[in-house]
Amino acid sequence: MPVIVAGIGVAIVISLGIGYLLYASERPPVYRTAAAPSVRIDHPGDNLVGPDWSGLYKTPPQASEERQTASKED
Amino acid sequence: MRSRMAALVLAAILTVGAVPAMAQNNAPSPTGSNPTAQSVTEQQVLEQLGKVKGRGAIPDPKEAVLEQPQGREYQAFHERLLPWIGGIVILGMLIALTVFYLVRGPITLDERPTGVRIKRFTVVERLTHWMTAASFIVLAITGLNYVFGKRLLLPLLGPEAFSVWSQWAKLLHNAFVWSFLLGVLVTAMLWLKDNLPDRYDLEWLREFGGFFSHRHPPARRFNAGQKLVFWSVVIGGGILILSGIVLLFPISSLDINSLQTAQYVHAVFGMMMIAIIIAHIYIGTIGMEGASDAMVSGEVDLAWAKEHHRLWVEEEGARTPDGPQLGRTVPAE
Repeated sequence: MPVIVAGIGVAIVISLGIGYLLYASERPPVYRTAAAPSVRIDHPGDNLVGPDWSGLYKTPPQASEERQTASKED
Repeated sequence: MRSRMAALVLAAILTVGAVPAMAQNNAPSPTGSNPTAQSVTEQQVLEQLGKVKGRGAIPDPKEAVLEQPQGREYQAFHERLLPWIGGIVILGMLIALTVFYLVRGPITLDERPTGVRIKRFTVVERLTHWMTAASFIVLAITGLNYVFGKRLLLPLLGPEAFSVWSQWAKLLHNAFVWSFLLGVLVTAMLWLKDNLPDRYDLEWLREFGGFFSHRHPPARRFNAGQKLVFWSVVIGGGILILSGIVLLFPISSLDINSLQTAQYVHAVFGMMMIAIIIAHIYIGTIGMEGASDAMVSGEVDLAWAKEHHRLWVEEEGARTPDGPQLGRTVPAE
């Protein structure tokens, strides 16, 4: 039984040790490594939606709703 | 004659009336688009889906694949075929073992235990075995989550808990490959010599280990069944490790299409390995009396060793990496 516990312990130490080292070693994110000179895709959150974007998706009004609103205004 | 004239007039009227209608069908709609024509165009595009490929302007060609038709095949494999493969292989093995247990029952000792204990595996061998086993169990459970998690666990846990579990499962799956890799390498080094095929293996396989005949085909340190498990772990585990490491560092060596191929290999071999190890666990625990002692305490009864590994005892003196323990009773050939 002690050997079983020791084997499990060794597996945990090796796995989490190497896993942590790999996880912690910083690698450049894909939006940086994949950046091409002609396209600005750096600083995500800034370039397309602006820094004040709340992250909530606003559903665009349906065409039928637009027509109903327009007919009410008429 | 009068009726023939009437028919001609009727045909002329229908023809003249049909022309404006046809012209009306081909005329552009008030919005400038023709829905019928558009749908035909879309159909033509859909027919090209097996051929359309898209590439971006990213300099690295491995990263530049924007769209490729193999992605649909991969999705069909992952979402539809793979769960079936996994279900059939793993459940099939569980059902087969259950039937075997019900029909045959556990394999018991024919002779009474002698009380003489001999070493079956050294500490290093057992430590390696349990390290590899623990790693494989973690890899198997977290790997199965990729395939069956959202089908089986998500309805039980709910989306929040399932997300947390899946994130941890992914991290554990990526981490435990390293101890599994070490375990497979050391296992191969420790047991390669004892797992080389010999002339007794065919006899063992022909008699299916004597499980039904209640005979005990001769075997050295490992019988043919154990050798099959060993080579499954070394070859199958090796394929799993290689394909898994390729997937662990995506795009570093292969493009997306090759990664999908690696995923096919990884998933199918993973399912097969899980089924094989389930059988290994069965025979090492409830399937055979005294078998678990070999890996838990490292020692087995002499009667057990003589029944299941007669040549190991008689020819090799119950040799382990620490050396033989008994005197040879039969000259080695």
